[in-house]
Amino acid sequence: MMTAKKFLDNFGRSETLWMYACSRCGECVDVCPVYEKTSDKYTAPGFKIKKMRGLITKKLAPFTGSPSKESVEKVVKGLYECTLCGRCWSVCPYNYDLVELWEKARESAYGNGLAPESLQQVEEAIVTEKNIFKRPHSRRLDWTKDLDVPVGEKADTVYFVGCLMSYRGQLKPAASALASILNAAGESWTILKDEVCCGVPLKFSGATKQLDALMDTNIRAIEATGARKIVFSCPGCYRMFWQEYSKVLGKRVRMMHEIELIDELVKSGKIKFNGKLQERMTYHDPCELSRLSGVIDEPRNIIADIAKGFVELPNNKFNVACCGGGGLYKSVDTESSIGIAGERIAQAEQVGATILATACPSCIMTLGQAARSRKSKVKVIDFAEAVAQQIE
Amino acid sequence: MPKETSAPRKKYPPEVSKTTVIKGMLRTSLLDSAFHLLMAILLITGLIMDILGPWLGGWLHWMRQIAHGYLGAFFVLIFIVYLAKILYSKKMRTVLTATNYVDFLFYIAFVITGITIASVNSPWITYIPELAEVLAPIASYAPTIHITGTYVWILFSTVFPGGFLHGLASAYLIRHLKKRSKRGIQ
Repeated sequence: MMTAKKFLDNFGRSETLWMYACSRCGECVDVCPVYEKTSDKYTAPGFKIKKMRGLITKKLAPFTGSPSKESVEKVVKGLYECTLCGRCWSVCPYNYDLVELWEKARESAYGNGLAPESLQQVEEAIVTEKNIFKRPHSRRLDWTKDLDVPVGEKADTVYFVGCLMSYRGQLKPAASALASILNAAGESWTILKDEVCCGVPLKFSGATKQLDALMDTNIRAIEATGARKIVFSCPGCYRMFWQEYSKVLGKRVRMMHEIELIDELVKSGKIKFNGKLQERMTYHDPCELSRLSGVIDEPRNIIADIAKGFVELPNNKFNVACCGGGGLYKSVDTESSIGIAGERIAQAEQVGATILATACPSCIMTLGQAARSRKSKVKVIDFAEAVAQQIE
Repeated sequence: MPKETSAPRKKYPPEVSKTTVIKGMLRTSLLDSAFHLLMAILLITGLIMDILGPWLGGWLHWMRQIAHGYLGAFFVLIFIVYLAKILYSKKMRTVLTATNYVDFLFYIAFVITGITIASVNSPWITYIPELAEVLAPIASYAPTIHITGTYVWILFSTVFPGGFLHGLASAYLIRHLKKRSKRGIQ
């Protein structure tokens, strides 16, 4: 049942003060990819803060009445029409953690039954089948067929595959590329026998009540392997782990994205390359990996070794423009999401690239879809694929 | 595509401290920082002069002349540019509330009455002598409007969260910032 009156009740003193402290400079408005695409002011970060401040004021101040259902619904719609890319945070002069603010507001919206139906289905899928696609949990390891992939063994390194890599056929080459890199480097590694969704889609949608159970399952499975290192292909899983799982796992287990691992393997001489890609290649920094996890230099170190004709995209590195696929935005407004990705593909075309490598399954899916719909010659691939092709 | 930016690399989750906030404000907009800083100085010095004036009298002369007078004159120039920026910039207009616009009406009243009060001596009368004649009709009311208006504005922008509450919230948060980065697992 919808309870608009309780929306934002989970905001404490800190969030409330920050919203009043916002200097209304509007820097965030200029850089928001969704606002740029839709021109709907309810998607503009600064405008959302203004409206949320208004809702909270109505709760706090006497004689102002309670927030109307319509105004709450408009704000909630704006909250979900967001890629959680963190670009608003990157330009905020107060350096306020706006990503956390949006996530917390979504949590309140979800808890009060205000979230879009498509995201409520995500929760149902994860609860029933432990993955975002509601595909049978028993088929999570199907991608490993005919591949040299150790499952549920004792090992030094766990490869946490994630839902997208496990279930999306389009991404199988990416997952198998990382498997071949780990094998080529002679790493002692395994994937989990009973891996379940890391929980990041629940965090993004605000359905955080189910998180503990998922985290518990994954943590027990990781501990059973005795691993001291976890590697991820998905920056969403990666951030979920270093932000949430690390509270339980502490410093016992080192967490790294595949790009960080590959960079280390190259530096230590465990993998060597036999040549360089001849095609003109560019790299799209996934927001979760570059801006929100600080992995910016590592891919470029590797690219220097594997690509001859590398060219940078505009809006890159820390200031990267989102592909449009983050924060479950694609489930909320597919057309705009693909539209934003289309602009990124257009930029790749403008710099003359024929290969667009990225290191995020969600970015690959979104950018790939946009490239197909534009009939673009730009081929979107996973970073690990580009690396695996050049290994001796 | 959204505007290409060159924001300096920061660490997420943000490490928020007094220094990062002040640096961030200065980096983002010198005009915005100057406007807010001068507003704070003028409000604080104005209140000190009004509340403590009867006891401290001549001791506050330097404050009246420099911190409230000359800085006030500088504020007028900054305020004009700031207003122009708001009118020009769609992004700023998007984030301002109705209360903010009423705040600006108060500021305009403070600027006009402030110049009127200051016009009996420098700096305005020195450079624009014609002002004395223009402002003459309100000369006798200006101090009352200026002071009373300040208290009305404080009340107004507290009840309807506006500039004063924004200032208090900012000052409180900046004073108490101690949020450290939660990362450190690498």
